[in-house]
Formats: sequence, structure tokens, C-alpha cells
Amino acid sequence: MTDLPHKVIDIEGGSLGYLEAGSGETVVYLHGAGGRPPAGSTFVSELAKDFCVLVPSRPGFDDSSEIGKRTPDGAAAAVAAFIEATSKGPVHVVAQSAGGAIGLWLAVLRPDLVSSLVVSAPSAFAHRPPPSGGGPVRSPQDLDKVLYGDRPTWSALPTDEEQERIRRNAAFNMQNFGGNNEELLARLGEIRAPVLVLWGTEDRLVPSGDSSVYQKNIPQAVRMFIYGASHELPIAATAKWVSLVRDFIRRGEFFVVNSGGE
Amino acid sequence: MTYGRLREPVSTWPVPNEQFEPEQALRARDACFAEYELADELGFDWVSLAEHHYSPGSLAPSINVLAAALSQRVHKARIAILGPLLPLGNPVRIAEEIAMVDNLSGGRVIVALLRGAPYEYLVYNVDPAESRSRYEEAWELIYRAWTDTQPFGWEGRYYQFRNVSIWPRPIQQPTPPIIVSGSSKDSGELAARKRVALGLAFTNLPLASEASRFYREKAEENGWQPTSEHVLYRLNAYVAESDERAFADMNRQAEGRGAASVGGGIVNANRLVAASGFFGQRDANLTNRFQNLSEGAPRSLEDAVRLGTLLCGSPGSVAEQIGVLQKEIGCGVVEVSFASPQGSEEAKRQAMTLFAREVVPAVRGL
Repeated sequence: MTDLPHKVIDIEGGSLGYLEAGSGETVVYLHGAGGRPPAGSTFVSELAKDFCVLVPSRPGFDDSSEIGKRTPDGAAAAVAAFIEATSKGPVHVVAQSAGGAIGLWLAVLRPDLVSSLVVSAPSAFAHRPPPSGGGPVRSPQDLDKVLYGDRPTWSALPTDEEQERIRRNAAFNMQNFGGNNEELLARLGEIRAPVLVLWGTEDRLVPSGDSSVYQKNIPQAVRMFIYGASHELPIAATAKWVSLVRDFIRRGEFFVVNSGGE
Repeated sequence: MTYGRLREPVSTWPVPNEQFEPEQALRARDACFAEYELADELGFDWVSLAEHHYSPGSLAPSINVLAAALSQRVHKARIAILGPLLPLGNPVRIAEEIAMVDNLSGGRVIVALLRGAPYEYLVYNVDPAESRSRYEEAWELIYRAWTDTQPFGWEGRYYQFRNVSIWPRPIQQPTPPIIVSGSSKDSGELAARKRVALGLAFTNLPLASEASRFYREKAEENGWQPTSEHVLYRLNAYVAESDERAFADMNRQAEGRGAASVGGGIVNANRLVAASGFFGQRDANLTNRFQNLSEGAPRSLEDAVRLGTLLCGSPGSVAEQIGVLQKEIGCGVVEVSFASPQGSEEAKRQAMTLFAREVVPAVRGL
């Protein structure tokens, strides 16, 4: 991802920095608490083999200015403006972790802009203590394991500077986007786009049991567990994650049918 | 459920099925059901069955078919399915079938989720070196199929499903009692991590004691303490009025069994699969054990009793032997496979009756 072109676009109320890669149908990736994906992650490049992938830094993260309210629905409004400014029609939205609440709000508020939605280990609703095997994070190494698991895919490990950027973003996210989103929960039933909910069975940050609420409340949700994967699925289980996202975007409701090894 | 004696002795495995005779198979079925019904009448806590393949020694290739039939013949005892061999089957199908049998039995299923003996891996052409990782993934998938109440898909290393939502779910919530084999350290650790019972089958007293100690140690690390009810020890048994009679009957069985045994073929199959990575690096000692089965094997019936691989004697002696097992292994559950000396079903029924009426009351309070 290191070589991806970095761009800035002005929208009403400020500007958003973003990365762009590939061509084809547009996929907008909404990052989690840490901000723009680390340069050494490979999943954007992998997705870009099939799609035009746009990775905006959410308002207030990285080099994006603060725009509108510091809430998930406020961020969703800014993302809607970004999509209107960069794309000709509705897009596929892929939202990771804390980005999940923004993606879901976007699908609720602007169904005209969302062809399909993938929420990957979303943290939109109340956290509960992790199940047995979890426990508090004790060290930076432990945090890396909680986030990325035993076999993350990196082309290069995050630099100290990047790790500092991720910590700064995570603190900003916690201060402003850590709510329970009760209103969003009540409105999940309004979502009309097909939704894929992805979760790792070894997620210690957001337990996989939390995934039921999405399956239960979103009309067209398909929930998939990636066996053995931890929280940051695009990095912790890159090949399987990319394969599932690609398959869902390409095949829509036929995702649930065996494709004969395509 | 055993087929009984073959017309011509066979020592190979797989056993050619040319000697299969429908009439004898029906007699075997009737004898099997009669035995299970007797156990139920005698008040045994559970009756058990195990999945095995390609041999007249065990006619339960699809274990849940037999379990379903038993659920309608055995009315009080629990039905212990020991067990489906996870790496050999479809985990979702296994979850569905066990749940179905739990429904058919009114919530009386106990299930051991097992890897199976090494030789079973020659049946469905599964790579023995993948056995452990297939088992662990299947375990997680089955557990989630039983407990997750919303549809889900599964993207694993070995199993991929886009739609899972089993009906019925088990009657017992969240799951039927689960047992994991403790023959290897990996399994013992898994049982401790998952807070389920440990099953020790056809091993011996020193090895079982060590496995039980290891399991308790790992349980402690996972923040809980197993009770004696969490440790099961399974072995062969025979009881008669006196020690002399019991040993004499069993010695006659040992002499008669050689001609009809298929043990040699299975021993060789076990050896081949064990040497092909079945136990992995961590449990190399188990591979060695299957390479050299004669080493450390009991030399006599008395030796088998001493090693804890056989209960044999009068009711009083067998109760004492169980006391030793309980003390050394900490097992609160003893699962016995009754011998039928020289194929005598009557002797077996007598042994079961003596065990239920005289041994069980004596050991209940241990």
C-alpha cells in the first residue's frame, strides 16, 4: 500500500485526505479507530486488483480536517459528501471496526449511495467483557496479537511513527466515537442494501457473540466467521477477508450459493 | 454393537465383508438391543456406543443412526455417544445429528467429540497429519452450530459454509455434556480451555494419572477446577461370583479370541497412521507407543488389572479396583465395556447384573 497515490478533496466544511487504487466498480473503505491502514498492509492493493478502492481518512483523523459533528452519523454525512464528490453513482462500502458505525449510518441515511455494505468486526454497539481467553491487554506486543493475531500479512511492519499515528487516532476515536449508538441500533431495520457481517472467531476486542445483533436486526445481512482470525481482519486474515469481500461485492445475493470454485 | 464370530478367522483390516450374513446381523442387532435394555433396567447411568469402521467388531459406522435407534429402546439411562470422529465427517451434519438424537431421547445425550483411533484415517482418506487441526476447527464449528441462535457462515481452513442454522437445537442447553479425549496433551489442554470433561479410554493407570494431572493443571491455568465428575476412565470389565471364576472365564476368552481376532490388521493400520503424523511432534511418545505396542502391554490378566486396563474379579475385588482408579486418576466416572467370555452373552449379562447390583452400590460413595 506504500506506493498508493495520496489525494486531498475539498467538501463542504473542510477537506478529506484519501488513497486511491485500482479501477472498476468503486469500493470505499472506512477505517477503524487507528485511522488510515498502515503502509505495510496489503489488503487495499489486493482489493484494487478488481475494484477502484478509495480509502478516505475520516474527519479528524490523519490529514483530514474536522467536518460536522463528532459523531458516527456526523462522520457518515461527511463520507456521503466524499462519495458524491468522487464517484458517479452508488458505491460498495467496506467498514472495519469503529468504521462500522459510520458505514451503517451511511446505509441508513443515504441508501442511494450504498450498493452493498461489508462491516468487518464492527464495534457499533455496547462492549461487554471479552469471553474466557480474553482479558486485559498487558503490553504493546499483546495489543499487536489482539489486533492482528499470530499470522498477520505485512509487506513491512508499521514504523514507530505510524504506531504513534495509530495511537493518536485511537485516542481521538475513543473520545468522540465510543458511544453505544442506541439510535443506530433502532434504525438497522431501515437498511435496504445487502450487508455482509464478517467476524474473526478469535476476536478479543469485540467478541464474536456481538455479531448476532447485526444478523438479527439488518434485513439482508449475511454473517460469516473467519475461523482463527483476530480483530483487524483485513490484516489478520488478508487472503480470506479479501476473497469474501470480493465475492460478496461481485455476486450480491448469490454470495450464499456455492460458486463451483470460481 | 458387534457382529459376533466369523465363520473363518480373519486377521487383516479392513475385514473383507464376504462373510457378512444377514441372519447373523439381525441376531447381532437383537443381542445388542437386549444388552442395552438390560443395562437400562439395571440402572446404569448411561449406555455408550462408539464410531468404528470396516470391521465386524463394531457395527456403528454412522454412530448417530444407532444412537437414534437406542433413544427409542433405552428409556432412563443417558446415551453416551463416544463419539463422532470429527475430522472424518461434516461438522454441521454432526451437530445436526447429535442435536436430533438429543431431541429424540428427551435430552439424554452425552457426547464425546473425538479424533478417533489412528486406523480410522484410512477409511475416508483423511491426511493423518491434518487430524489435530481439522479436529479443533470442527470442534469450534459444532459448538457454534449448537449455541449461536442466528444464521451464520464459516470460512475456515478446512470447512466452508455460507449458511448454518441447525434445527433442532439440542434439548440440553446450551449443549449436551461434552467429553474430550485426554490421550494427548493437545486434547487435555483443549478440554481444560473449553471447560469440558476429560475422557481417558483404553490407556493405563500410569498414563491416565499423568493425563488427569495435566488436565487439572491446565484447568487451573484457565481459572477453574474440574470435579471428579469431569474425569472419565474407560476400560474392559468382567465380574463373577468369585475371583477364581472371573479369571478362569477371562483366561478362556483370551485363549479363544486369537483365532477370530482382527487385532493384527488394526495394529498394523494404527502403526502406519501413527507414523504418518497423526500425533504430531508434541506427542511423539504416543507415536512410539503405537510402534511398540508390545512394550508395556499387560502380560497376564493380573497384570492388566494392576495396570488398570481391566476390571476383573468378584464384586468386592472389582469395587476395590475401582477405588484404586478413583484414587490414582481422580475419575468420578468409570465407563466399562463388559467382556463376554468365549462369546457367551449369558456370562456377559450375569457380569452386568453383578456389577449393577453389587459393585455400583459399593463404589457410589467413593
